Amino acid sequence: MDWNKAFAGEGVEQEVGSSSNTATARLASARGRRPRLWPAWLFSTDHKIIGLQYLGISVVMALVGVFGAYVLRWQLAFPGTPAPLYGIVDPGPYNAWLTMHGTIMMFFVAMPLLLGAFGNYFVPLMVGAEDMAFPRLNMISVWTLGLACLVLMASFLVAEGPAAAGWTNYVPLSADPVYTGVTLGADLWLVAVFLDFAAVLMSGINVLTTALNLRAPGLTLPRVPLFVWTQVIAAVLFLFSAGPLMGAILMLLSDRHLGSGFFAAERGGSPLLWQHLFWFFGHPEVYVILLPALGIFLEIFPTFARRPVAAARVIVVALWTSAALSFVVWAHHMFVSGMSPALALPFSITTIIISVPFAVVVFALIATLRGGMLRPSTAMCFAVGGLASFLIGGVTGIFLGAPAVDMYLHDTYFVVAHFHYTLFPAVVLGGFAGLYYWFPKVTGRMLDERLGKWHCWCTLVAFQAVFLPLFFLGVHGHMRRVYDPSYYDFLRPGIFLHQMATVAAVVLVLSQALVVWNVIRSLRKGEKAPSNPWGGTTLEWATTSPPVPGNFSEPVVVAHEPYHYTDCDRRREPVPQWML
Amino acid sequence: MSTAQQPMVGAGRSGLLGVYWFLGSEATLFGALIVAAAFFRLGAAGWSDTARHLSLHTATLATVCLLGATLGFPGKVEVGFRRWKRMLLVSIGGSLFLVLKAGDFVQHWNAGFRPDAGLFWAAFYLLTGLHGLHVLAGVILAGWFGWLEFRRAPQLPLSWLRGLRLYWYFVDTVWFCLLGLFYAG
Repeated sequence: MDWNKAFAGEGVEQEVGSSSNTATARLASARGRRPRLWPAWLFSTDHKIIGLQYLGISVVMALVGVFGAYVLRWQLAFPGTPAPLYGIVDPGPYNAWLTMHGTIMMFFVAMPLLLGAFGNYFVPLMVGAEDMAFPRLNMISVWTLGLACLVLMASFLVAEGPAAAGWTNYVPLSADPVYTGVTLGADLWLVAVFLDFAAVLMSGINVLTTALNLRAPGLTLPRVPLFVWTQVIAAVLFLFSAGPLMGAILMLLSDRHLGSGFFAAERGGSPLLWQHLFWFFGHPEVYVILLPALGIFLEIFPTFARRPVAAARVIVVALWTSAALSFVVWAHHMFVSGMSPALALPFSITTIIISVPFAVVVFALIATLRGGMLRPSTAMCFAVGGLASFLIGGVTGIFLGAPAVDMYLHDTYFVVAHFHYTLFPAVVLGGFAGLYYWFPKVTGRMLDERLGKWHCWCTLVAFQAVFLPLFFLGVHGHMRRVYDPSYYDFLRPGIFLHQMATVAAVVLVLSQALVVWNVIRSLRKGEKAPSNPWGGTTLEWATTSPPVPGNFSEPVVVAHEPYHYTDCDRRREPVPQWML
Repeated sequence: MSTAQQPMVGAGRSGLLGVYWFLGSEATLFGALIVAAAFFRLGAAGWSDTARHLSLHTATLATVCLLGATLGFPGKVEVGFRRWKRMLLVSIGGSLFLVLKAGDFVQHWNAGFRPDAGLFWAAFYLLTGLHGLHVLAGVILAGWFGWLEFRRAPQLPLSWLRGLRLYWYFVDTVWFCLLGLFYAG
């Protein structure tokens, strides 16, 4: 092919032809090489296996993060007493666990689970592709994440322990070891987060390209399922927000090792710059995590209500609007930082405005239920519970968007409660909703619904019992960065609320045994799952359970929009997207 | 109708689209650093005085090398010019740029202008260093592509070459921003 023509974009047709031929060849060869041994599994480029690898990493990291939460909660509830399985929690390790709990849960559990695991596994299936656009990049992505996890975990083994400047890693705490007593651990934190972001960026590029370029014939953009839209928007958000924090990490490493003073006020730098760069990333990051969870809810609601999603296209517009607005709200995290008070008003206004598109999505979801033929499956229970819990987080966020209120509440447990009411419903409840919904597709086995319901109720009730008391503690002025509440007279009466939250947290953790047992039991002798057990309408239900290598044994063509149901003898039958 | 008979919506353009997304994220990385440095420049009184320590001649020569390398990518170039020669031109131009920048670094470092000598130098080393790493990556890729072409290995995917061209344009653009930030008094 001529070089100049090639650069001018000609010859694409030839590539298309060869690509589809190659695709068929790959599909054929893939059928004969399903990886069975662990090295093949480990080095697989199959998006489904990589999705499961992401899931495995996020579960392992969640165990560490949850243990950290247990240590923190024990110290707050029973200050100075030895925590079972841990011992006395000293102030230094308390700060380290506080830092690592937040870091691990945000960057090494939430993103790998909702973007890496669910995104990798289901985006290609839902757009009718045989794999991601860049399978090798996908493998490199999960390997980079694994390396990031190892680097972060290595910080537990170094002499002074892991980073202890908080998950936001504010300077000057993170810039100078004199504040935390941590040197190498803080560097490992910076390197691990940088690698983690690189991994998610690679994954995001793959999701975006796959969703835009590898859609099955007939799958026009208005026909793309809402879960895929949320993954696309989350990937765009991460792509355009991660750079500033990665740049800030490079600047901080330079400050720490080359003696520069980007963040040192005494050398002409600005400590606030770190906060600006962190939150320019940090606020969109919340939506990076939240949107895929909303996407899961948006798939589950119509399936179990037997109704089309209300105002589906408006939802897509609302999600894009919220994504755009998320780039202009970051300073509401900094009302008390000492930044110019003149900035508080515009950022307060944008913060209040951003609740509007989310309200649109929530109302659309509620409207979807109206007049539906509801089937309260475990997935549906988790989805409804998740949405309801998230509403509490969202509404309390509006309080914090008002500078006058935020001045008082900012450094209290109110923020901790608000934060967990937004993130826990997204990551944990959304994750479980997705697990119960798609488990039959992934494994070919049905989960036990009775055990699932018990698991759902125990999780929902225990979650409320853990975090609801923290709102009351916050309103009463309980500082959130306090190691020993018994040190302050005015906090002592509130310790029983900490004790209640801690006991509930233990119950919350123990109740997860139900899902572990359910999964093990189902994998061993669960009922075999048909290809479309719930009557879903999107393309992942067009293939076998579990999907064959190459995803579809028969080529799929999309005929219409998703979430179609017809009335038939007083029953609503799904009209799948692939049904001509 | 099968996927083999009817191509996917955008099949064949994925590589290039992936590069666009990658460069989008790179733009925010450099964008954040450049904006931060620009704020420091606005707030620091001695920025322009410090900038006079930099050699404008070296910067001009480095710019010529980088742009010369860009000429290796075809725009309106005559047909028949072999691809490996173009990639060689990119590699040589990029390498010369790196040699000049490395000389610049060594000279200023030895003169005592290190990252701890002030925000100007901290930003200079960080930004031009990061940019240099990107140029190095481009040189390595161009060298590899050129080698594959020279060996007449199976034809390179065109999206790789188009992607490298886009990447190089991006590197050029960043360099012009850095010229304005550090060299324009």
